[in-house]
Amino acid sequence: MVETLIFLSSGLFLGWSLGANDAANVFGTAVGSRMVRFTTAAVIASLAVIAGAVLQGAGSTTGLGKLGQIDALPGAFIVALAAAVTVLGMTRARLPVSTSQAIVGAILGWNMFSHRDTDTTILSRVVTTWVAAPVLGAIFAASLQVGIKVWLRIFKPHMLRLDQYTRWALILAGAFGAFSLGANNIGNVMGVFVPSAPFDASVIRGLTVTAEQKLFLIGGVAISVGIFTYSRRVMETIGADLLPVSPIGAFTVVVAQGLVLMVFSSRELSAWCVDHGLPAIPLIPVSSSQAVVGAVVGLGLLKGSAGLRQLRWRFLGGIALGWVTTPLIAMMLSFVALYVLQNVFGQEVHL
Amino acid sequence: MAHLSLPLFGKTRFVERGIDEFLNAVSEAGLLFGLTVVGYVQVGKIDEDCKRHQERVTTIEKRCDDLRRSIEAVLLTQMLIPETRGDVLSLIDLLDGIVDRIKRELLSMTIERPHLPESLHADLVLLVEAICAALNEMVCGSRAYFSDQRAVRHHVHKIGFYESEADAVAIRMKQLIFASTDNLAEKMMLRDFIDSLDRIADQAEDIGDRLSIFTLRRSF
Repeated sequence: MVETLIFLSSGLFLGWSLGANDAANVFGTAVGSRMVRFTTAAVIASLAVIAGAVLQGAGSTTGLGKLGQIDALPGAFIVALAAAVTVLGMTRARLPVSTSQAIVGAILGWNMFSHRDTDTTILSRVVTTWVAAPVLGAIFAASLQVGIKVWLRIFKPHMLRLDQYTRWALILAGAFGAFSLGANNIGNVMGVFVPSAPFDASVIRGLTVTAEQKLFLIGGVAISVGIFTYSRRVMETIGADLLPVSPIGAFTVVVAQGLVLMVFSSRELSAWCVDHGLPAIPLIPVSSSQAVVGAVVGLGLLKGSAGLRQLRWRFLGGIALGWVTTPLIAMMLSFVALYVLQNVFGQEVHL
Repeated sequence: MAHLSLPLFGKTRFVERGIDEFLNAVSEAGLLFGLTVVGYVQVGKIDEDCKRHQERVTTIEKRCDDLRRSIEAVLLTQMLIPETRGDVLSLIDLLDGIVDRIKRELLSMTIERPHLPESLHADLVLLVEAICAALNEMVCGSRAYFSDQRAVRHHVHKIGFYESEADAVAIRMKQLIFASTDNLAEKMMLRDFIDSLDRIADQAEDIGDRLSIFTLRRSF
């Protein structure tokens, strides 16, 4: 049991860093502008993340599993650790980083080390989602913003009432965003441990809890701990990194991000697409930060040339660079660490 | 609202009503200003109506102060997106300031009772009409800021128009005054009287400019 927990610790560390960094994407503006208290935001975000992870987390995890079936717990430990170290290192270096890209790079490192073939179709789908997530974020945000503008023009609510609605909308959008974050990104945190999950399914009062769900619950709790212990500073300092956004704009961004994450996690939506003759949506963890960036860019584009001038293009360039550097660094770290664990510590990192 | 205690629920409606009441009071002060000055011009003395109007403005000014305090207390402690809160508080303060000025100028007029030559009567009425129109647009613009921000620009443009009209009339009147053979003390008193009235329109224009900035800040 102790050994199991030690091996799971890298995933928990990854979960903690995800909670610390990505919760700011859903509640950052609300807390930063002091519209919602940090404790309120942290409690709502934590509960929603855990609910999303346990109830909807299986979808995106399946997609990641297809990229690399990590069949030994020490191997999964190293993959998660390599991703976590990459995320931490890049965050320290103030470079935009995505947990999803780090974990994909680390899995590729394991594939290389264990001489397993990487399914290029799956890989190309994963890479496509990296581009698709911000693009979809931009489309969702721009459409939502247009809808809100039309609504405001028709109903002309009093400013005070509108601000009250905005406050509630930010809380609800934050809960939805956190649920989607849990559903989609739990694959990053615990996905690599699924094939070697050290748990059994159990029935509690007639309710079956699968081994996967137990794993996701632990991962969800790790994310929650990250939210409570470290996200406050990120939330309170989050500002106009990319473009100054109003509270209504912030609501739009959070909902757009939640929708993007939901699109790439919902088995039901993917099945619906197939039923209607559309291509299946790849169920893969995507970067919530990049969905947010896409949404903010969408709002900027909607403002026309003024919005484009306000955008910080160098920041965007850094994100695009991260699409290449993050998986590469994680892959190399994973490969080297697997070599060390197998040859120095004598652990079996693959079957 | 000023005499009511803050309800446990429905604070938004409470403040909404307070702001409406406040804007009504500002509008009323503007209308009474017009009635008082035009009445004085036509009658040539401070009669009962003038006194009554001036006293009503004093009461309104007190009510505005009370309402401002209540609104500020609720806004600061209970509600509104912080970045908007400052703008709303500033607007309420500025509007309260213009009611203060109206009260002050009317009080000065009733005390000093400047002698108004008949040659100035028509222009004085025109000046007061322009000032009242600017005040009216200022109140409409403020209402629009709370519920229909696209309309604010339209009202601000009109405030600017009426302020320019007031300036033009004031300059014409001062030229007339100093071209006359009246004694210098009287001329200076009249000039100060006209300037003091014209400053109300200037203040309305300043509020219009601030309204434009507040609206831009709310745009998303």
